Amino acid sequence: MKKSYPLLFYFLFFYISIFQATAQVQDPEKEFKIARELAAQNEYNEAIVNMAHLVSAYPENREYRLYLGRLYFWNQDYDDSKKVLQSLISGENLEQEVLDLLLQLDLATRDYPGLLLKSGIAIEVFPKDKDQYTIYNAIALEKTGETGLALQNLSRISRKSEAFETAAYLRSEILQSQKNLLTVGYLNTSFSNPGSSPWHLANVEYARKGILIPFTLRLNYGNTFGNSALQGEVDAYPKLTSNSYFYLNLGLSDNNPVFPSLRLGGEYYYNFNKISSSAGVRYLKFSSAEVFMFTGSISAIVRDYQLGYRPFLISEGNTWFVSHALKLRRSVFNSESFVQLDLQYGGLPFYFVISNDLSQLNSYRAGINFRIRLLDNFFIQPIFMYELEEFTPNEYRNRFNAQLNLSSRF
Amino acid sequence: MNIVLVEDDEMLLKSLTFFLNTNSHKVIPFNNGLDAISYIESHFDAIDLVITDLNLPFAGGQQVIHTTRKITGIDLPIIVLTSSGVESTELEVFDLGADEFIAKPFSPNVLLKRIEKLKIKN
Repeated sequence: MKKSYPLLFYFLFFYISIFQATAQVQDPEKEFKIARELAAQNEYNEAIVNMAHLVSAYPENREYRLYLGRLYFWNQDYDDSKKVLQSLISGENLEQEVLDLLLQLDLATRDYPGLLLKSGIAIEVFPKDKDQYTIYNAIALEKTGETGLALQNLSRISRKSEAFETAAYLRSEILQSQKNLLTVGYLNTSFSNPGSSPWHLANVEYARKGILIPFTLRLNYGNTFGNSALQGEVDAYPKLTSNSYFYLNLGLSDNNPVFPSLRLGGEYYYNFNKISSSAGVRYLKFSSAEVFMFTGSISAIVRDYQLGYRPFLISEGNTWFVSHALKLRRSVFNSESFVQLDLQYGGLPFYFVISNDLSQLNSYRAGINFRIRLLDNFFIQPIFMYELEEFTPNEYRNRFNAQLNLSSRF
Repeated sequence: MNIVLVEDDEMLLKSLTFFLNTNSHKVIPFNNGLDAISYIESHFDAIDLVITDLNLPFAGGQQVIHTTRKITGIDLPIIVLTSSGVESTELEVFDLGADEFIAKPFSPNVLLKRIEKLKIKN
């Protein structure tokens, strides 16, 4: 007889527990409301205790169980959330709300095979919300190596759909994850009043990102005043912290009047929220002169707009020049395009073209710069800049810069 | 179609069961090979298709395929779910007598298309 006592005890304990659980929930809807209020105040642990109590008292109530699963999810207790949700699925029943939470759970736990399967089920079973589930499906496809299919499915979402903006954003994110960019560019600089023979500059550039130290290799060809020369350059962007990195530059050319024989550059960038700042220096060694350029920048992003300012303090021998550059850019992230207005004042030679001619005085420049994405992975970037250049003291001439860059990403 | 589905991942088993049921199939789900084999042995006349994972507790997917072929000959189509993606495993699966295999992860409509393909074939 003694051996049966523990069994009896367990039966008694079980019945008392069930009785207490049921008896203690006098007003289940009030308890449910309290749990929701606790959750609204981010008191998830207390809300979970309340809901677990309610679920044990009313195990047949699917709404309570779903909410308990939701609470576990919000509390980042994904295993328990999964267990609760699993009890809500059967071969005959899978409510849309349960499936929605399962999709969020797969996404949070990076269970991409699970996400692929369940989003596929959601697309088939709940076609009314197909576009919304296509987003989940595309994420899963991309993460499981089916990038092409992910992009194809996202591009099928209609412009009229509520999910269109998200789909376009995701498409851009996926496209931007490609690591290689090849660019060819041409810059023509012409002069008038008084005129002069035009300058021609061309470059071919390969950029690689998504690696420990992203880099760019560039070969420049220049033809100015009847002289031609080549220059090789390398840029590197070693990351220092999550919000700071270095820009490093090295350029080499032979002894010629078009490019400096040596150029070195270094700049430290620090990003804070939507503000980016930098400070750096450039060194240019020409055949007859050495030039130091001290620079920095600050820019802020407000919604789709970026306003940036960059000053230059240039030293050649004992002479100092100051230059200011202001830019206002309007970006369209989903199409990776922008339009940019540039305003500059000072003695800075235009863009990467660094010539011997640092004796120019004040110049005023205004330009417009477009970047347009075509066919997902091609970019066209026309740049126009007009300059009123003081080429000898108190004498001005017109300078026109027209540049075209064509890029392909892969 | 009456489909025997054998998969040890409970969530996958339930999700696929629900999905196939909503697509006018009747699914008999099992989370281990042993129970599935026992069911196939006693109900082979009422089954139209077997879908099985390879790695299963108690009796593996290979045993499910082997038993199914032993009992039903070539009449009952078998689809194997494999997570290996290794060519040798795929060949092994065909050698054992499977008709189709689907590498995980997969979209459920891929499974539906394979089922339709087998339906036409048979």
